[in-house]
Amino acid sequence: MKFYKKEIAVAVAILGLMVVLMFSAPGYFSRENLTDLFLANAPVMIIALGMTLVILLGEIDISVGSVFAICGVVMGVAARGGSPVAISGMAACVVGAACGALNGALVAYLRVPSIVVTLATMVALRDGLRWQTQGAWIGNLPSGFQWMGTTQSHYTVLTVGLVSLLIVLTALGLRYLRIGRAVFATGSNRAAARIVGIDTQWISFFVFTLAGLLTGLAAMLNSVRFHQIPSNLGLGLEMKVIAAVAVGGAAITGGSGTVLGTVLGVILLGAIGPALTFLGVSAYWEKAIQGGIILGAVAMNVIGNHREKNAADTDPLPN
Amino acid sequence: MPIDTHPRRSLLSEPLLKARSITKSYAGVQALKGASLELLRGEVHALVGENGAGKSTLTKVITGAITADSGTLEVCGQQVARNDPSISRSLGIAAVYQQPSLFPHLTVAENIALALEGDGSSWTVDWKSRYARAKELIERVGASIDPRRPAGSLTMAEQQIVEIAKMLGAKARIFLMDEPTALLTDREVDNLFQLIGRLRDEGAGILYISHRLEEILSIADRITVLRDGEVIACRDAAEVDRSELIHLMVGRSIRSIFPKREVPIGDIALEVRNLRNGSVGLKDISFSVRRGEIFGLAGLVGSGRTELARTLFGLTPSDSTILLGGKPTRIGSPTEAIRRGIGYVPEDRRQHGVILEMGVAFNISLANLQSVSKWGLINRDKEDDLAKLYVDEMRIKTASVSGVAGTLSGGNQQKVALARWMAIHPRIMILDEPTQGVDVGSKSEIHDLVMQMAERGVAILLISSELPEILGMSDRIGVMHAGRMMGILSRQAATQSSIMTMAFGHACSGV
Amino acid sequence: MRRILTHFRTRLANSRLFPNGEWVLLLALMAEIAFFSAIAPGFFTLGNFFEVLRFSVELGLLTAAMTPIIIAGGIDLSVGSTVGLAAVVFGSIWGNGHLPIWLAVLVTLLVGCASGALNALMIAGLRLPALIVTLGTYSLYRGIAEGMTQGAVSYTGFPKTFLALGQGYLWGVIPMQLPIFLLAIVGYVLLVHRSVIGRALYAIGFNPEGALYAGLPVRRYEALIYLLSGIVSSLAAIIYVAHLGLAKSDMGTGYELEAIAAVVLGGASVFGGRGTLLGSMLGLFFLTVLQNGMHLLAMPSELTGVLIGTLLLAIVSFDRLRTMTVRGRKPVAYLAGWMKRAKERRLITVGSGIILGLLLVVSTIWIVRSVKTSGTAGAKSAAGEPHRPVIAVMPKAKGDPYFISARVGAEEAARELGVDLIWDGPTSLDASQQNELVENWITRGVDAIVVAVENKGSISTVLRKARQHHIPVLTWDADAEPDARDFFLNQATPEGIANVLTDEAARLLPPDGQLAIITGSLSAENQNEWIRFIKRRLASKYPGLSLATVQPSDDDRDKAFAQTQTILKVFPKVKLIMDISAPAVPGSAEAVQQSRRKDVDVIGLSLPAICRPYVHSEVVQTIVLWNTRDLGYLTVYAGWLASQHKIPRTATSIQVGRLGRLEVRNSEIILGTPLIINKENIDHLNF
Repeated sequence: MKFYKKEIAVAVAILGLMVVLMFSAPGYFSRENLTDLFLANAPVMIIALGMTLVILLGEIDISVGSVFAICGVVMGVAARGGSPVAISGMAACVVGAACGALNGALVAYLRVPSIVVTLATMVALRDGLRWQTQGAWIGNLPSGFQWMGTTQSHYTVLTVGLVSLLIVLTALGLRYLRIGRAVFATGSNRAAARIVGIDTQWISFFVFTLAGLLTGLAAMLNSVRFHQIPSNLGLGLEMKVIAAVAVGGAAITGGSGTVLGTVLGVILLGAIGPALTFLGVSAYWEKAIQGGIILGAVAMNVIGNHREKNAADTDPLPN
Repeated sequence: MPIDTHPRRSLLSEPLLKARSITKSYAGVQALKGASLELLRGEVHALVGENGAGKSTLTKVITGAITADSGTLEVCGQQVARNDPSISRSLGIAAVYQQPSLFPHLTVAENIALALEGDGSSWTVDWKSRYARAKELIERVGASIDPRRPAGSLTMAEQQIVEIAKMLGAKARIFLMDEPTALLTDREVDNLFQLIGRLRDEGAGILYISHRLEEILSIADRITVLRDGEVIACRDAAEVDRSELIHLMVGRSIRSIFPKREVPIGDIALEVRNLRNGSVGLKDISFSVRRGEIFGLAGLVGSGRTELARTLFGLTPSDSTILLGGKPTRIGSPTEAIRRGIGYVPEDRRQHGVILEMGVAFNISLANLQSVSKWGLINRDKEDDLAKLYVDEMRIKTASVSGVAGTLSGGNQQKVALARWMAIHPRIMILDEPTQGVDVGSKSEIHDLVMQMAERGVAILLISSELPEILGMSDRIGVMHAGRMMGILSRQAATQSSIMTMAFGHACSGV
Repeated sequence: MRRILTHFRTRLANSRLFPNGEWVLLLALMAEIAFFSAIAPGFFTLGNFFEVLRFSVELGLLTAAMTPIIIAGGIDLSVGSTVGLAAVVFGSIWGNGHLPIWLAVLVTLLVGCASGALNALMIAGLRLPALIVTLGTYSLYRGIAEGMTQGAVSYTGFPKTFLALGQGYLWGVIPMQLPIFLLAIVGYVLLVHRSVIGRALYAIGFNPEGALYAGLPVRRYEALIYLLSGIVSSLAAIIYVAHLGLAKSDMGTGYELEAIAAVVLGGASVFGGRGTLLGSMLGLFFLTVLQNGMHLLAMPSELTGVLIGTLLLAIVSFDRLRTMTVRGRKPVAYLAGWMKRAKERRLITVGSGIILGLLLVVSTIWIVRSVKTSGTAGAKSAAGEPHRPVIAVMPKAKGDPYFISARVGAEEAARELGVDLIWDGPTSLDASQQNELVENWITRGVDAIVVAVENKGSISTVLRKARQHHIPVLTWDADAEPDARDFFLNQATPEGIANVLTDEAARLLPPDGQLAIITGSLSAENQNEWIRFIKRRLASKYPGLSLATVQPSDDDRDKAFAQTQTILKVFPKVKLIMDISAPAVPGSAEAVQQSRRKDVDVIGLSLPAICRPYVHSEVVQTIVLWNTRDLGYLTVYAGWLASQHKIPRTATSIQVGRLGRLEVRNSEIILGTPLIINKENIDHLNF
């Protein structure tokens, strides 16, 4: 189908990688490895869903890494203070949403460019956390903290369920909810969106808040895999997430992109790192390969777009 | 709002829409001078007039896109105190404009739905009904467009059909159509007319704006003629014919007020032979302009005049032969055009003509930075001197040469745009609607400047939709229609009606 | 009065001197300078002035390069990575290849040119969005640099004449790189503000279509600025290499964001068209002076980030509030009105949401603060009390648990001795920040400097300078060049640690077993040294054992976790994971535990505090470490002794508080042998 050609390109790239691995490192497809890969990338996936919304709007959020760290630490502190895991998790989500709301308010209502806002909050939140924790890890967590009081396998099932649910909900929400369509409309043509009665400022604010909430949720899922919470979580996470969304075919200028593309983007970038170890390639080339993939994907997208746009432009009398 | 819920529907005699003494001015230019209009139930009411007569302004006042300076608006006998697009929508007014404004990334169905659903109460989207509805509406327009296609991939004609479908779906009783057929094929136009007929039979009122007089005569019940922001006449369509309409539209000749002077005509400066440019729809255009000559280019909006200018200026290069001073030249970019002595004052002043955020001096020197710089470094004093020269010569009203262009009035902005190109001392100057949206005083000053340029031996290509201007200024006049040059008239042979006749696509016997 | 002010302001705003309202920033910068001059010791001196300039050069070059790009409505995220790539290329050609310097400089500039050209090609040629393109090259260039060096190599040993470029002085006061910087700035000022191209860039930034209609070669100029940005970044890299005396792949990390922050602070709009080089430079100095002042006040480095972020937001928001209108009214007037209208209920929701959010964040900070175990006594400034000696101790990275644990001991010693402790260092491994801090400490005039050296080559010059200022210099954790310090606090030799670790591995593995090493950042010198000694020990003493792989963890627990998972699957014969980075041990242990592989052991260098659960569950067999708390105690105690001149040159042992007598050998103070920590003794250790 012509609407999914970007996604198909990413899927083909993933398939290609799979085929190579199939022959040279079949161990890659063992159940444990796939589970581990999934769990390692689940937080990225969840944050990428939020980032997809932000990018669909034509905005960007580079503060997610810092928010991720804050949410993780908040959760740890809450849990150590004796609150049940569920409550601590909720605290993480609320703090994430609050940080997102701060970004959103500045972007939507003060109309400060999102890259400036989130650059500032990224630096301020990260260093604020460092200052407050002095880099100390949050340890001495209650015994029920890891795996949220269940077992590892239960947690795995839970995470698989939750991530799939979120993917499906985001995809459905973007497709079937009015507010989801309003996100597309705002990103596609802001002026026209206002004319048809969409409150574009509210949409921006809402999307940033939701992205923050999802970041909090991701931090929660990540934290409960361990006994301790380091305070330097999520360094460089924003680049990873934005890259995944861009590879998935979302246009940085807004209005175009799919949840499926983002999911594939996360899978491709998440699968490639360990695959290099499996293939015996030095892990030091991982970053270069990722950069190459981003450039390749974006070049492909825009060349595709050019063709579409030219088709529309060839009309004889555009005046 | 469905028609039958309105409390006053029993009053059949009441006009659907009544606009009284509407005035509106933009930056000192009076676009509407107390225009009044009545639209009845079951009526197709055509609005005609030259470009700039105030038709679009009037429709925008009705749809609430702009606010009138004075005058009242009544819908079904009730006065509309405050108007904006959503209020006018709720009053049952739907419009389709000349320029489609769609969400390029979204599908046809969604573009239609977003416009129609408004602040609906539902949280969710019913795609099945969206598609079905879009399909139905597009079929009612008489076209077949896959509702799943993204709007960005549609041709302009298809986009226009989507706009019409949007309008249809609005359950309105007042339909405003501004040049809906400009982009459509004959078959699509036929379908549209059938549709308009059905709407009329259902009791809706249609306000129809078009340059195509045949169309108007065939579908309109009444015709209102606008000229210079005033209603000149309102006639039953059965009572008027083409020539009378044209006469009403253009009015008396005002050639006398133009500062036309006899200038010795020199060698051929610019010549094109069988110029084609498929990507912008230009076909077989041949003409030449001599030094000191003003060559007027007339035609309706969308006839390809601006496209021709953009091609000559290298913005949309063509492979056809362009001869400059007799030498065949390929103009591949504006930079090359400037190097060859071509200047171009574009039509859209605010987007293209001047850079609003920059100062007057910066704007004036922008195309001519070489002359005020040495080793690539700009000499600010020289630049200021250059700017001051033109500010004084052209009487540009600005506090200083560093004043921001955006704060000047339209006329002065246009003079800045003109100064930029005069500063390159062009051999050929293309002026695209140089006096559009400019107040009367600046207008005659600009005419004077154009004349002075001609006297210096510049070959001038003057594009204008204002017939008196074309007639008053030009030595020869080319008339374009649908991307072709319909004919070239000499100053003596040209009259308003001969130009209009050719502009409407008829060959003229007087060539 | 008010009218005069307004008049003055309009005149300034209109004048050519401050076309973009830079006076606001200039006033802010002057206020900042006045503030620090009043309270920060040693701030208002010529020496400090030039030091600030020196540390601004690399970032300043990038800021200059970023300015025209942002003016033209673009962005370049790849400048920091280009610095890393160019530095590595320069180092590999000259540092290792021993080719002539002009060739190395030429090739480096060409590499910068090529990296700029790739950006230019994709942005100006293919018309791709700059943000995404440079995000891609941001990864790509850094990745190539890492791949080339395998992260491990750092090129050092540059000749003195070259190092003088980055470390020397003209006429004794003016830093050598300053003339180059000024030249580049003058060049950029001419380009942006005087040249035809600069004028065109503004037009492009305001209105690309309009620029095209004016006949400007839009694409060519766009390509040019990205190309220049690449070249200037590589120039910055060369100066940076000379400044630090080493070339490494991680150089310039995060510089792109700092440069953007400086440009935006300087009044440029990321939408294009607005911005001046003067503004960018003011923005840059606003940031660097802030950093410098905070260091001189002995405020922790992280506070600077918080302040920068907040100020950036405040200044940009203020600017927006000044210029924007809400439905035709000024925001203040509008805000007064909206409470009344029911239609604006949503805004109220939003507003209260934000306030709630802020409250939450603040309360979170408060909670974290109150729950936090370690005190921050050292942060208290000693500015007011000249009598108490000030001992400045620098860890390699403040966030590392190893150093956090050492800090506890340091604070204990400070209390005991009644001295003031400044404990500050880079937030993550960063050799240049270490230099900057030491410079600031010299300016501030501390009584002793105790540094955990990140890179020997880069820090020795500044340490020598400290000694010239008669400040005793000690090194700990890793040593500098012997003539650059008075004493090295030797917790254990690299060889000793490597041998203990290898012997432990051999004890746990069968004679033909396989092991894998997870290191921290492979660019950390001491870790590389350990790996070297481990390999040597394996080869000489345990030829049956084989080392399957060495993987980096970036000192990140989660990454070590994922690496271990992968290693276990790719190398099923690996029965032992050796982590030589403190945060990696719990990561590996958790991975082994979750994999339920009972046959795999984890050993490594780490802290009891973060490994305790894994040692108890017998996933981690052994951790090797000296007593970090004692080491921290020693740093301050020895620093104090040195500042009081209580360590005679000839001493063979000294009395160190509760640690008792410690041996002194060849200007090294020996802490003792490494501890082997296992299930039996872990609960007796409190660090």
